[in-house]
Amino acid sequence: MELPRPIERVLDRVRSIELPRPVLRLVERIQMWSERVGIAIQRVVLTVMLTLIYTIGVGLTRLYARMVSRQHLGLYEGPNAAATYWKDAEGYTPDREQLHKQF
Amino acid sequence: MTVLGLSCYYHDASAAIIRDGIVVAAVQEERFDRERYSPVFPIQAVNFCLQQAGITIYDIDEVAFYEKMYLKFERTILAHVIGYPFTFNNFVETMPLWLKDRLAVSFAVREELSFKKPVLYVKHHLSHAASAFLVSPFERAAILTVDGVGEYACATWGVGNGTDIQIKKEQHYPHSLGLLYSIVTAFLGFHVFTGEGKVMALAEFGEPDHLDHFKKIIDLKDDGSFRLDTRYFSFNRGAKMHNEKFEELFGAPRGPGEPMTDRHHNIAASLQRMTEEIVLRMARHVHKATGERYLCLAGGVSLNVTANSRIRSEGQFEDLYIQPAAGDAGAALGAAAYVYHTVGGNPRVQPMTTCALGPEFSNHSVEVLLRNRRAKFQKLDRAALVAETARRIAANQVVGWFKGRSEFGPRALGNRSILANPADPTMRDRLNLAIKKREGFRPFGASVLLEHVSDYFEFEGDSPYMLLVANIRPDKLGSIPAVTHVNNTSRIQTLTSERDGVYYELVREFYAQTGLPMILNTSFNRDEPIVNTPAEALKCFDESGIDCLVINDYVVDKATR
Repeated sequence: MELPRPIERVLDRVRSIELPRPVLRLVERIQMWSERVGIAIQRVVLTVMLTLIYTIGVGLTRLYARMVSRQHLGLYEGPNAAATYWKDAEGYTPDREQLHKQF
Repeated sequence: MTVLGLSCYYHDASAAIIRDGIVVAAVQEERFDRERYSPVFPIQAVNFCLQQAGITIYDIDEVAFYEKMYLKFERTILAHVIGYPFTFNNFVETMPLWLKDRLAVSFAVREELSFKKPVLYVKHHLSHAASAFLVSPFERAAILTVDGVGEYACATWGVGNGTDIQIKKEQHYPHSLGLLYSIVTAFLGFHVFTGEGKVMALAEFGEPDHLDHFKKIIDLKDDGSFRLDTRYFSFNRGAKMHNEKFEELFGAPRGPGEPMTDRHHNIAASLQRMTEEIVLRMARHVHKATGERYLCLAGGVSLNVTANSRIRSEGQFEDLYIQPAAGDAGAALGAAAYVYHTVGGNPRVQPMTTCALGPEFSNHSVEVLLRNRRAKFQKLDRAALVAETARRIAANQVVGWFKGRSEFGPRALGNRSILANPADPTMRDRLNLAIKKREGFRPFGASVLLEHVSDYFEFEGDSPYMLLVANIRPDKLGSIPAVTHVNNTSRIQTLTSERDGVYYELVREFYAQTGLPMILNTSFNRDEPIVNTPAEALKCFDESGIDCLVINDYVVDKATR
């Protein structure tokens, strides 16, 4: 981001000031702790958002699936008389349009 | 035409370049960032591949990625729906990875590589299939891929013909042999990805007393397809993937540091026998269904050398080709090969006859390093180097051997190896405990001259990538204790002059000096990825009990440093 010239000049001046060591150390520590606080806030916000998505999004989907008796992923709970569990393979064609997609 | 293949964001991130039908370079990112099974975007691997090919990113015609991430994400979400609410921890832990990296592959390619064209996404198991078939010596062959899981598929089979690959059938998550093996690996107290090989080795110490228990939780059909009874497992629910019902059958899991007991050995043995039975039935079914003479294997389960050997001897095929980087690292190569040959319509030029596709270093750079480190070294010509190294190995010294281009895949095959005398009865313990700092039960493989392999092993034919085991001949038992596993087998790599060059000469010289046509070969590393640079080799040499280091044409002796 390009700042107006007068501000740039002021900033350059500030940057060129040699701060005493204790002040430099204080500035570094403030930077370090700001970064840590930022990361912690990010984690908290992300966790809260993901919790909401999980509880509401995944939870409602689960509820809907149960209501309509929808089975996913072919879970299995005991032997059956099927001759084979091999399924016909799908989506393995060298079609360039298909290959551009991630589905 | 030049195609760059990529794999990343799960494990074994890697890059590979195919140019005009030749595999120019392929390497795993872990060799550069020194994190085992590194999952990160393989920028360093890509940079190396471009450098090796003598090109820039602007010379790349296509970029191929090894799986379809959105499809995989769909399967992941479905697993969370099914496991709700017990998968909460896993959801919160993994979703940031999806949002940041895995769903943004195109963005990463554009930003990290400055490659503006659309990326081509090859399905996971198709990448595996291509990594084996399209670089094999077979014009046509059956293909079998078995691993943990790709998008949905955990195993597939099909047929390859010329540049065409037809995947016929697949088996879907969660009914996965790779996952089952990993679950039991964790149950036995090992880390997933690093522990499966240990479980395979441990299996030979036990009896398959728990085979009936495995048959109870696996409904296996004659054609090798199977279902896991999911009532015994807890997928996506946290670190533990088995549950109390599983423990009722097999007992309590082994805790970290807990001593190994016969029960653990027997569970490992039972799992291994079950795995062999499953893949053998799959192979036989594929043979019957396709009528093909040859079989190509890939996918992480193809690193199970014992199962591979059973397929070779009992699978009814005339010959096998196993991709040396059979895991997800090889899938990068497979994706590139698929786009180059099958999509691009380019003919196959030559099979991949070596997996030495990584970096190599000049004598000049090695000498500069040695001088800077004040190492006392000597430079020898080829014949003298071979003779001196063979002499040291015959004198029961452990030699670090760093030559040529690094190998692609998990095996060291004579370019980044630690070599030793297979006849020394103390060598296995010394290597395991003192040098490599690993469990004492882990066996070592042997590099043996092809023309003499049947002198010592009940084996005929070629095993260039150390992905097969062989029984040691009864009259030779006791002669090579360092490479003899508890069940009197050894994992073998066969050497030829054309393929293995100076490494072949070394073993031939060792044979001339000792009468043994083989040496012990293990990977040049110690609790880290295989060494990549001379500096890393020197560091490993310094910090371990390796007696002597050979880098290119230089011999570095610890005693003289």
